[in-house]
Amino acid sequence: MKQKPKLRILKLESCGGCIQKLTSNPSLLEMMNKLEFTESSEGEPADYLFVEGFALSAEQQKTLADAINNAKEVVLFGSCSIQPSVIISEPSIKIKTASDFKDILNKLCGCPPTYDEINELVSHLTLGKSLGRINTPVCDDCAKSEIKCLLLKGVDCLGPKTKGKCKTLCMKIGKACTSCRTNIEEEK
Amino acid sequence: MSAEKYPNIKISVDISAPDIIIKERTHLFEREILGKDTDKVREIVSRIDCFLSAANVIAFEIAIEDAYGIIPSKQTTLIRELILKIEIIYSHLNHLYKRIIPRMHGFHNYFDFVKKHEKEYQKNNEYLLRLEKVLIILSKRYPHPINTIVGGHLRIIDEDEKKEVIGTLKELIPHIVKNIDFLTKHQKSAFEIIDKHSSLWDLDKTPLISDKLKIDDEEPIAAKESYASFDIDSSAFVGAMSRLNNNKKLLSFTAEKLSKKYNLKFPLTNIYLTPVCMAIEAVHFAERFIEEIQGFHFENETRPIFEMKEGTGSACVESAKGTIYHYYEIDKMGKISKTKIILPIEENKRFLKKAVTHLPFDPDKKTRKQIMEEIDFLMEMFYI
Repeated sequence: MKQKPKLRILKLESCGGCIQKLTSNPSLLEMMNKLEFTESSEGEPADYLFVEGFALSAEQQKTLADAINNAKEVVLFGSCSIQPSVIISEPSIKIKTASDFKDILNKLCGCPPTYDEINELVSHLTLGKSLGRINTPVCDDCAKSEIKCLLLKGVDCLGPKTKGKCKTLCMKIGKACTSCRTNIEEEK
Repeated sequence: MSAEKYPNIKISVDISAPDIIIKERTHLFEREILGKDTDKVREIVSRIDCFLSAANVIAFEIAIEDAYGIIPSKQTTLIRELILKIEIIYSHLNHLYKRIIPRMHGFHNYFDFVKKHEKEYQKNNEYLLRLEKVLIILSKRYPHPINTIVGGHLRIIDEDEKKEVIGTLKELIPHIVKNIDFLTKHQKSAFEIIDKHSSLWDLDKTPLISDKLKIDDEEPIAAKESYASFDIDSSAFVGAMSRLNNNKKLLSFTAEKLSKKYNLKFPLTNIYLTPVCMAIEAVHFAERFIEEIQGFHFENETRPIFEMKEGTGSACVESAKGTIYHYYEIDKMGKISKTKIILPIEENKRFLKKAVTHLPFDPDKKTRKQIMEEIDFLMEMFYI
């Protein structure tokens, strides 16, 4: 029997919401048919490495570097692994992301990503494809949903500079975008 | 012990002298909050821990209201209490279904458990997904809720949503009752390690938002004052077990029946009773939630108008893992100039340390792997 590709999940500094979304995913069994999930396997090689969060301590940085070295492909799993400023933006706090160690193609934004987005990621990976970049801002989603622009109402909304396809959860109830899906332009 | 599994905890397993080091992760968030506008802080605190996301947001909002002298409406407080109840049920069941029950079945990796116990996993996950939907109905986004805000809430719950959430909880209760049966059958022998417990308290209800704190059988005290002088070396244990101990006379119908059926002798001090306490508490809050929402008619409200000003505010709320305390000083520009956040992990730290150092390891009789598994299980009791 052909061995399934091995997926290692690495939790660093984060709220844990993205892994929670992965383990609660209604399609978990289907995903497990395609991939061999492991919770932790320090030093062991993996085909895919999902990194949730960012590294703060030297120990975390070493764990992250080792995990990256032992993985064929790395996925930034959730917004704070792509852009830690979603949680921590204080410049005096020294942070390293997986992108500091390697150029990474697969970046799944979302705080947390939706079940559909996670399923799409796994489908892409198992087909040997990379996730496409989201190039449209939240404003496009608001326009499609016919939500009146909060900026025009004088509200400080970060929609124009934030990756879209967010289903406008916040704006639907009149709350401004706080850019939880990371910046379209810069990623750190 | 794996650093990646518990990113904020490091255990050194020298069998002759086991010890535990807990990194102060809260300080990271306190540093981040300093100098920020108050409206930015809710997004930061909601990301401290996804299972305490609503609790931290609500504690922040109440603290800011305290600083600005805003008194939230009865409806706002009820919506917050409802969100907190569901977050507690959801977090407890996540912990039980993904960490405790798999371990009791002999699995240390959740995914191995899923493979071998597909039907049980599917049933449990179905309830978790339905609870997540309830959380989204109430808080509009979860984790990182957006419905409650400083001074009020953005959206009320309509009649159809009310029916849906009540339906979900009514179906959930018998499922948790079955879980309790399993948990008690897999109960480990007593390890009496908790000698002081505290929770928010009221004479005739089991509040999740309050300024009264009960420590053991002492007279209730002002919660905010008590947390303002918090001393880690004399902290009391917080969380499901402590809340049950304090609220033993106020449990819901089924929760009380269950505590009698399983012969719980209050005050509970055995740390291995944590899973049973979590399950009984989930039943209790599900029943109380139904009572509270059924009897309430939600109406659209206007939020109070308030000005950003200088002030000091604090708040205490109950979360799945225990009591949370938030304190903020706001300068005249509306920015945070001082903050203190106390989380359950800090309050329970001395008990975790005591448990790890007092666990009878019997190194002559057990392998290193067995000892590691025992510590791993013990740590799950602390719901880190």
